[in-house]
Amino acid sequence: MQGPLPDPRAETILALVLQMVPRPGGVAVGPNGDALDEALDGLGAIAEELARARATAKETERRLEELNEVIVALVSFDYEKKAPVSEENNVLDGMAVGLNMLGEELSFSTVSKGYLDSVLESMSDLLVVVDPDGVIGTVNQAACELTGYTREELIGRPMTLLFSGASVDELLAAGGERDRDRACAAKGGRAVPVSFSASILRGGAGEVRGLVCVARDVTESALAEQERWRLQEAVQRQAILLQELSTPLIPITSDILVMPIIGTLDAARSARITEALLDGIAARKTRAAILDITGLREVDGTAVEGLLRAAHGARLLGSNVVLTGVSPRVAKALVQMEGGLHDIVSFGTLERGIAHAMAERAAARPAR
Amino acid sequence: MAGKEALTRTGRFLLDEELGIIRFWYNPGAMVTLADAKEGVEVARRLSRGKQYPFLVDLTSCKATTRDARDYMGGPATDALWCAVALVGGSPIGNMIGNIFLSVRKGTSPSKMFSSEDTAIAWLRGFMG
Repeated sequence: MQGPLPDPRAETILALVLQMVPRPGGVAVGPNGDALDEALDGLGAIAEELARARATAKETERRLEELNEVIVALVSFDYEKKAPVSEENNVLDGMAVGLNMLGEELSFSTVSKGYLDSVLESMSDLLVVVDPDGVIGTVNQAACELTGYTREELIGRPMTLLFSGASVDELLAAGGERDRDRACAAKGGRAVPVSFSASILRGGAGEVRGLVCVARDVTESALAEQERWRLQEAVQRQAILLQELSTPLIPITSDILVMPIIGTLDAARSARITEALLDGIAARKTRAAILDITGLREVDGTAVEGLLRAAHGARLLGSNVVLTGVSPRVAKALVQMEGGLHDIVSFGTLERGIAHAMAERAAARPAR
Repeated sequence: MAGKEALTRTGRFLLDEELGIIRFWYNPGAMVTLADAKEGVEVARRLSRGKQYPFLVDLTSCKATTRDARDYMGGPATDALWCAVALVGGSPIGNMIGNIFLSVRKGTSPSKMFSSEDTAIAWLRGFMG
């Protein structure tokens, strides 16, 4: 169709179409110079460009959505999610690479919440974090198990629910405390003995953000401590009993005593024997003291010295000392000692020693 | 550009004797791992023969670097190799890699990001011995 268009509005439409067609070199010229053909060509080109633009916009929207997902993952401390990078090396690819690198750097330098949670949950001790007003904000699984409360029952409640004697203000003023014996009030009123520690929690600027409280259930160790004390007392009682048994004094007559010495004779026991013997002699005004060493297991220098000391002490109190149960081995040891028992009567058996003492007693008794 | 060349898995080194600098171009789509970084540093060490050169890196074609590769290349161990490092982004990805590399780099030698090779070389001239 050539010549002017029948409707002037068609002229306007044609002019606008030609204006919109991006053609280098000026106004498009149709093959026939027809204005409607020109308009059709132009509209075709516009339609193609619109389709390309729509495709690009859709692709851009898809890429932005991918980047969004990575950003959300980073915010959620998920550093594994990666943004796809195309071969186009465009601005979106640059952003994708940047986000991927950011995730790598963060995963290396940031302790993730998941990691921190795992650490807290794996603790065997109770952990409670409270704010400066003493309100519980965080608890771990051990806290729930120890107290019998659920997490929901503890969070938002005052710390005094668990530690009635603890004052947040005092703990903050004191800079916390360490290994203090406290009672933790479990659900139902049961008091659990704990070793309690509290540290001040500070923010990045050093401001106080609360207290981190850790408590260890010491129920078992408290019972173990009681048991330890009980055993220690029992051992002490037995030691006293053994001491008494190890230094027996047997009166044969009113003035003859027998002290059987059994087992081993060390310096401590020698001292006890000497003391017991001298006390007995003094109390009974004993004429003869018989030391029977038949049951003495070991005879060494210490044992011999102990016997000599006891014998000399007895003589100083005016008592004759008779040594019985002397075996050849003991006799040899006594002989080898300097200043031996040359003035002490000795016998191989207790029976002979007693007989000797009785005879001496009879001889010393005034005739009637 | 006359000088000694050396190829690595991820790019090409050139000891530019005319300018007195060491240059490196990444291969298209290069994804740099720690092994690549170590290889590159070793090749640069051989090229420089113990002398400290200014270093020009063209990141235009680089597509990705792993964190340990960046850590190694930006660590103090490589400081002895070069007296200054100029990075040319040349592409959106190259710009991003270069900027992040510089922000996390621990090395102490001077380093800067450039959008063109000419301005990078002009800056490096200040470090040529």
